[in-house]
Amino acid sequence: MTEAIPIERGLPRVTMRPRIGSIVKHIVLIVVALIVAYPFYFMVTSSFKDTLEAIRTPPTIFPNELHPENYTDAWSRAPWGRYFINTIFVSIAVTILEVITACLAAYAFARMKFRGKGILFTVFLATLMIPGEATLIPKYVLMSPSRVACAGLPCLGWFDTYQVQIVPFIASAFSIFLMRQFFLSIPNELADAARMDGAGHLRFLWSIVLPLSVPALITVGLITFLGSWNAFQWPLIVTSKPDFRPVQVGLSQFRQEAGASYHLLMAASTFVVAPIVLLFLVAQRYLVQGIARTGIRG
Amino acid sequence: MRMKAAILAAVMLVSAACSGAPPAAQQSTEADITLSGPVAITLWHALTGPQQIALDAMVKKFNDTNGKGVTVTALNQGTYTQLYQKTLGAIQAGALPELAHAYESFVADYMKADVVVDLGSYKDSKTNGLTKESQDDIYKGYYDTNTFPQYGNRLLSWPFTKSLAVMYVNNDILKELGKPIPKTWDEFEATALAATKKDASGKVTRMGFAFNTDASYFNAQVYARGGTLMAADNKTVAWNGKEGLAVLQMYDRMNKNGSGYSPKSFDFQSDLATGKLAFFFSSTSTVPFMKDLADKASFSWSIANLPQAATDPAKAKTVQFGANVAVFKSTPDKQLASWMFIKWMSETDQSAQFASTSYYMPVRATAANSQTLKDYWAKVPQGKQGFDLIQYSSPEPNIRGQQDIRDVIFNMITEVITAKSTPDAAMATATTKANQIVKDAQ
Repeated sequence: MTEAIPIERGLPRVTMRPRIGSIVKHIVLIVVALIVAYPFYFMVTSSFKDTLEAIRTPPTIFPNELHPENYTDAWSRAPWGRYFINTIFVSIAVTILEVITACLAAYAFARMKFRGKGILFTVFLATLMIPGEATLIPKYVLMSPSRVACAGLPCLGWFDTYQVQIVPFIASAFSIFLMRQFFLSIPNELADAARMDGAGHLRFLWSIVLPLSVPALITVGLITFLGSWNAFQWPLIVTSKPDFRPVQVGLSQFRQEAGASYHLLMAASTFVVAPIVLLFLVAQRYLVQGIARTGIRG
Repeated sequence: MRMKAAILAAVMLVSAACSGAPPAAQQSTEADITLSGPVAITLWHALTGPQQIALDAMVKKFNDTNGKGVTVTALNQGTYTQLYQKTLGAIQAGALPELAHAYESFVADYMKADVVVDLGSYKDSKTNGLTKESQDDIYKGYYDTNTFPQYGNRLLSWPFTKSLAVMYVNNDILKELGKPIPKTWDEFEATALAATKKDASGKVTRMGFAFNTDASYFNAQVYARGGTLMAADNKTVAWNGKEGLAVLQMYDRMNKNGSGYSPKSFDFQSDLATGKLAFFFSSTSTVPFMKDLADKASFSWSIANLPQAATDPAKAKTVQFGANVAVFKSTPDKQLASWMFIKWMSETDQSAQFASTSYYMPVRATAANSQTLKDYWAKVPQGKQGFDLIQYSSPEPNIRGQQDIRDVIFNMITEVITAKSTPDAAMATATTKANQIVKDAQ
């Protein structure tokens, strides 16, 4: 016979504090979520406003009148189909290639022993401190078609191509660092067992490490894809023709010398951002996992 | 031995690569040549939206009708600042287009690398140039702004997308106040203050004037108050005199009494359209945006010259701005083809057509006789109001370093309207910085 457990009436005192804490926490989270979501809300609602309402101060919360034709107007202002194809192609290519280089380099830093590894890794990390703008002109000159600019040596001559938007970004110190941190968390016993079974480094990486690193791979892939999708400055300066330009450059069509067509800009921004938001929603679980397991939380 | 042979081979390879480099671009000394065959040239520009559509239509018409095999490709390169930075990079990379849309300060910087063609010989060429009558038809101010004293008074660019600084007025507010468009600075300040409304809590609900921190509008006000921008020898700035100080002092007073405010981005346009603002200073290229707003919110607006210090209307002044086009050194054929295009664009019919579709100012006086422009002005009378003010417009300095001086002026105004500095102190600091820039750029 078991003893009856006495039932306490009312809420136990010990649970009150967590409950109040939870309410406060949720209120804070809701406020932060609203702050984060408001720009998106503003963008989408402004995309349905007319010229005047879109720039009215203070802004209206809901459009007085819906103007879905803003989307067709915005679409007709630039060769968006071409821009989307270019952006998708470049983003996928950069993502695949960067993930490959990051995995190989990270594996070497995490699992292999070689002279100068520590210094080399520090040098890699140090490159994170160099702002992109500082290397803009040297990279631009390197891509130039003119040997004169390259001091007599052959330049690449890659202006107005896809490779000029892909190759400079296929290796990233941040991605290497992130993958290395993840690879370090894989037990050494697995490497020992694989070695006993006759696996070399590449086999171990391919068959053991990578299948265990899916969250990190998705994180690196997603961050790279986002960066590539949002690229503006580099594509703008290395491409002159619409045939090779990405969507972000297309958005600049709506700002002019003496004003901006904000309602059309917001419509175009909405359809440019939509694919990336969808991608993030689908992959966010892996992104959080990947970042949590590599210990790079902010 | 093998090593020596390998080194020798490597040296030969490098030498071959170098000898294969294209010859350094040289400016044609002969502007009277005829094209030796079809020529393709590229124009980098900063036009977007309707203005890009207008330019593309002109380019297509030129390509279809020039009969000399010249093909122009016009490519947008972002904003003016992005275009400038990209062109600087292209100079380094040896990848310049044949023509580029450029402000005077850009051209002065490009010329440091000696890459810009002197258009004087093309303009005066017996076979490819303009007649005396045609040259005189183009506004003198447009020649002045494209003639660079620091480079031997050479004509280094050509008028392209011209505009001028004007005052936009909400007529409904002035009607309510029973006041005319202000002609003097005292009238302007008084009207702006009268237009300012505050609610019971003291919050301003209608403003008189929207401050503009852009250097061009400061310069326009210095001109309109009777001042000059540079000393005669171009070695020191001259906007730091009593006229420039008066601009800052007016901003300071308007800031303190609430009749002036600092708009965000282009908010001043919607504020004027919704009856929250009486005046703003802007370029005539703002006309299409105000017209769009006027179509949505029925209000009466007009364009007028800035208030003036001079009582004689003939001495009225404002800033002429808008960009030009520069031709870069390439081959004689490409330089000539570039000249042919810009010459064609500035002919009466094309100038009128481009002005009516792009809202920029025509570059020559006879464009006003064109039916195209008359039809456009019938629909947009403010376009004519702007056109009538071209005669009063004078260019800003086109010296090296002017681009940096613009930033100094921007900071000076910002210091005053954010009450971080007094007008005198802000002016003194800005003068020191600007004169140092001029000195460094000599």
